[in-house]
Amino acid sequence: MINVLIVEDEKEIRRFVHHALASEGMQVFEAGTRERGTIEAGMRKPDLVIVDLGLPDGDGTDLIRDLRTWSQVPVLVLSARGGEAQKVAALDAGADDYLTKPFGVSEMLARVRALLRRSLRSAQDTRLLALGDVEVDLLGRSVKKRGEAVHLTPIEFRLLTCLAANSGRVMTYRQLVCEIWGPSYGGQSHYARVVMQRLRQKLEVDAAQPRFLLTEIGVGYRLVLADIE
Amino acid sequence: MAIPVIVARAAPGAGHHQRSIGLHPWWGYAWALGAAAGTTIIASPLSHHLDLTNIVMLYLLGVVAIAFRFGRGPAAAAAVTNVAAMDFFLVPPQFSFAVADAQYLLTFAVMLVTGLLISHLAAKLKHQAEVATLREQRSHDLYELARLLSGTLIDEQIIDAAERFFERSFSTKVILMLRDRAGQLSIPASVGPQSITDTDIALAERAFAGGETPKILTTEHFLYVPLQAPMRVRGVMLVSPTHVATFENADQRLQLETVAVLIAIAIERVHFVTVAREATVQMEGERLRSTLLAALSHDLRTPLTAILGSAELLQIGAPSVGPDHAALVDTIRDQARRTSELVENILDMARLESGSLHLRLEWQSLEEIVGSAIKARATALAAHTVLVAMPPDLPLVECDATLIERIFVNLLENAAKYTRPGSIIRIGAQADAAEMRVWVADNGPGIPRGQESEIFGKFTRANAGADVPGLGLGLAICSAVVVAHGGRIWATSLPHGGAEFTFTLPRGSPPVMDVDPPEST
Repeated sequence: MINVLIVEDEKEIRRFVHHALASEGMQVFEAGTRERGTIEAGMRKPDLVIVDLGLPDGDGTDLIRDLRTWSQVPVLVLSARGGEAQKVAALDAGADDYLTKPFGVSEMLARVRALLRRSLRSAQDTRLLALGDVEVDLLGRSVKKRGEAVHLTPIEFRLLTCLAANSGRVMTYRQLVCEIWGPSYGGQSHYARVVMQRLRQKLEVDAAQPRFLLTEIGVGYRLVLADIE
Repeated sequence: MAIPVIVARAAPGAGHHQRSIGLHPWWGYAWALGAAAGTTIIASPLSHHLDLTNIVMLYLLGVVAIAFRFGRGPAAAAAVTNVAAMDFFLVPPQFSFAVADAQYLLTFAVMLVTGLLISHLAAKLKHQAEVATLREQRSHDLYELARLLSGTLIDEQIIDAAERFFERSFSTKVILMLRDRAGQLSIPASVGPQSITDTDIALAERAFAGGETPKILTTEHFLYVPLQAPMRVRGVMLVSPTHVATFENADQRLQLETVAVLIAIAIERVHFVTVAREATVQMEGERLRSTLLAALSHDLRTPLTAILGSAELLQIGAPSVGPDHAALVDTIRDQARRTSELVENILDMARLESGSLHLRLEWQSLEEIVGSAIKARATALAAHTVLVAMPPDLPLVECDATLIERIFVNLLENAAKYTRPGSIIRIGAQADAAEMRVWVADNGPGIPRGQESEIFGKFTRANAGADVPGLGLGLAICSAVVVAHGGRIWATSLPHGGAEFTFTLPRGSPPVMDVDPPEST
């Protein structure tokens, strides 16, 4: 059975998330404060943690940071719209994905499933990617679109590899730029944008309405392998 | 007679005074002696050809020159020396102070009296000329101060103008302590704690609280001049006297008081301007609030009523509900979503209006922002076709991506609301050297003629009352966002039908970058 911990101070939200997850056959534990959340996370060893960023006794981001010192459990963050900086901080602290309030049950369940899938899959190696018509061989460093070879520059390939290694996860601009160009480029998020624009033009059918290489505006990018239903 | 004190000043154009003051006074007397000697030397060879009365004239000329150049003392000395020199060298018997003819005694007496008189008149004239120049300079300084003060909009500018005036006219420092909002005297931030003591502050408080007729208080450090404006005392001006500007004589006092009144009036004017502006802002806020309340009461009550009704029907579990069960649930969800979107727009508008908005400017890809906006409104746009046509080499543009996304979200939402299902929405962009031009066009009914600019106002909607829900905030948000970015936004009706919304963003100077570093691996 899959264990999920939800750390959220609003009882109503906790209740509907609880019901939604329970209806999927998951075991749900609840915590209303950051302190309680940390204790529950250590006690229950959950397979997924859902954290609200505004907790009465502290910032959810700090909870994530604590959690990351000993666990790689997937973390889904709940935050209000307009709090882009807060989201980015949570993701940089180690969160995997976020949901903006208000959110629907179906959207939340889709994210939860994707994160759980990802944590199972990460054990296996992801050598081949399928992005619609495009096939990517990460080890062979080759890309084919409807059977025809597509040339990617080394830096484009590195961006793709980096996103593929974290597929389903939101990668912040900072994380991507640090990984690809190095930490001294940390604030230069436009580097990632330029390369992403080229990558989309090569791999997506419509670069302006991408299906796989998605933008999380103000936050970062996410590679979605199977369309989230 | 009140004698105005002449003040040595560093001001340009006042050098004239400095010269006469700056020389050591003994120079004047030396010149007086020299003049007497010179005149005697010149007059000696002429004494055989000229009448002595004419030689007297030469001596008097010397006195006039000395009086004009050096003032009263040296001129008097010159008059006396002249008489002595003439008697000794020129009047027979020569080289003796004895006088052969008694009538020369009269000559000497007249010569002495005339010399002294001339010296007095000339010195007075010179002094008056100097005073006139000084007065002129002062009125010019005052005029300059008044001119500067008339253009001030904030207290800091007044303080600056006052400091510059005192520096220029009196070569001294001034500290303005003004009444703050609580009615207390406050020390300006620019004044360090070392330049003002607690005693100074206490004395300033006393000058400030001087009642109906506040008086200037004086210590050796400062003069505490109350800034008395027509309505009330606006603060206290602390002037430190120096040896050239003692502020002890009537002239300087008068000037100091004039300056104090000028500054006080300027402060009062700035105060009332601020009060008036705040009142306007508050009135605007009140108006906005009442419009918002009116709009909210309709646009939020409708969906909330639907949600409440549907939820209670489901709760009762009325048998007749049976087949409509799913529809009721849908209603709840859709209406809740609509409410949420309304709230988002209201929050956006409030944030943009509050002035606390901080743009997170980064070099963004417009295509990306458009893509994100389309995805965010995928449900509303399900029945529409969105075509995005942007040049592949469209440069990055510096903007706040989340705010620009709101523009597209609002424009797309409008297009979805005001056009029939199946309509086509086109999004495009083009960049020139100065700006990026972005447009969102549809093939719907277009904008009612004459409302092209009106629709950007808050709570204004084209075809208000038509069967389209909304607060009329969307375009106002677009406009506020574009303006915050330094761009423009406008709407036109297309010749073949449909509406086109265009906005611009300044290009700025794009970052230089080389995204493809040499491979290190």
